[in-house]
Amino acid sequence: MSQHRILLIEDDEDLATLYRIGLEKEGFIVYTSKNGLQGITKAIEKEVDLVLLDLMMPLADGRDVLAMLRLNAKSQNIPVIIISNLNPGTLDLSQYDDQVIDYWVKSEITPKMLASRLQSYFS
Amino acid sequence: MSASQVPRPSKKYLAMSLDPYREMFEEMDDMILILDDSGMIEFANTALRRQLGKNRIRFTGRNLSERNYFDDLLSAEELLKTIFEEKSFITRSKTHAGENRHLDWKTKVFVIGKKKKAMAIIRDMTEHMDLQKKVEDYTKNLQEKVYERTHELEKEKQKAIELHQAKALFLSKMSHELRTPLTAIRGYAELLEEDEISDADRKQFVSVIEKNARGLLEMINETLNMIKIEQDRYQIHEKTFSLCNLIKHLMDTYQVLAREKGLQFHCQLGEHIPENIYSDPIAVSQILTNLIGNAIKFTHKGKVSLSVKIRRFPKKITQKLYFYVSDTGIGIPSHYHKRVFRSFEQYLDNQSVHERGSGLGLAISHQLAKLLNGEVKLLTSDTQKGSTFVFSLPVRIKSA
Repeated sequence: MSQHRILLIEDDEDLATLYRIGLEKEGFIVYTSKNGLQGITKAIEKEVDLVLLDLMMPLADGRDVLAMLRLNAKSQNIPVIIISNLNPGTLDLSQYDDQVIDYWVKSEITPKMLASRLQSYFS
Repeated sequence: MSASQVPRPSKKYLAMSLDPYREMFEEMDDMILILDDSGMIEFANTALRRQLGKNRIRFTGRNLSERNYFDDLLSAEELLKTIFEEKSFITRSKTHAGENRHLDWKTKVFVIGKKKKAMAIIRDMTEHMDLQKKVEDYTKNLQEKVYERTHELEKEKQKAIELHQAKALFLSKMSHELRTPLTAIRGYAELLEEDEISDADRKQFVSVIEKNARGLLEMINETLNMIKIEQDRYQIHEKTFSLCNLIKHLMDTYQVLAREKGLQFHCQLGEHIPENIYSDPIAVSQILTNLIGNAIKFTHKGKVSLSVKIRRFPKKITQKLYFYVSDTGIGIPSHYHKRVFRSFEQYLDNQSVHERGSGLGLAISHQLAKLLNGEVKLLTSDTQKGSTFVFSLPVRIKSA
């Protein structure tokens, strides 16, 4: 069972709970943040192995979070997987290619699929 | 006999020898004037005399200095000088009928005996110049019109581009907003399949599924309504219904939502608010739902209030109801006020892309109110203080 530490930055409470429950069942340690600003702090404090990042959030959206992660030496190497219901390519994230390792569309994955994909990634 | 011995022709002979040419000059349409350097006119053809309205006057022997027939700007002296400079020039003269004519002069100076003489061929250029002026004016006018029209087309093109961008953003947002509740429904349905979940969790998961399904349905209905309204297919169904019950229902629904966000939600009914009215209850409810729903969505602290007033017109069947929805929310920036009721153009401002929901609520409310012969207006909005919308509705007061 995986003991990897995942930070989920997601403003939708229902979806945040959904993914947390699904991932915790598969042994992941899950931290959640409702917004990007809180998320950056948690990513560093909790020394997470990966960030699951939503794009459409009020105040700081996913692009802002990526920019902020990059500014800090402790967070700039944390891999990020975008998890969003926006079509890939809607926002230009090419400048973050070194940190963003994948883009998953939420409506196409259930919690079990999410856990399975993360396990494949870590193995 | 040498050339010097050939007798010189007499003046009379010379004058007579001009006779065939004189006739030719008389027949010409162009005006011919021959004068000497003292200004004495030796010949003026018929065309010239006609131009000056002096057909019966003998010009021959008169002097230009007696009267300048040809230009009301130049003196006779200046005219004579200009003629003998052999330049082409234009004069302005009045005909006998008082018309201004522009005359184009071509002059040639020659010496006969020891006398200097000049011959001027004069052409009336008035029509030509008028036409030229008309063409210039027309060209200028046309250029101005082309410029204006180009400018209008540029603006329309810009508007079309913006609308296209707004629609593209709208579609992008709509696909996001439709997928999000579906994500929750699928995900929680999967969790429900697990055997080892508590009853409390099961209840919560079902509640989330139900909430997202309802949200999805509302969004689909909003979008379909907007399409119907824009295609003039939305139908109003008026009947007598209880206004008080409708308001109570709204209060019950939105008190819960407001409390969840830590907001106060008040309702105040003015004097003489009727129990029952005759209108379309679904449309009225939709409008108020959108206004109150938006107020709660965009308010993070403070309060939302609904205030209902009536303006009565004695001896008239129709009265006017005013529904004021106020909040202490984030407000709407002033540059955005004009766009707030437009269905797609609000997406020109990326801020609205981040808000949940289709974003069509206000556009739908605005259009529905018009269908009811009423109006929804943004009364005030301040990013520091919140907003107030007013929905005015003419109604017939009926007892149940």
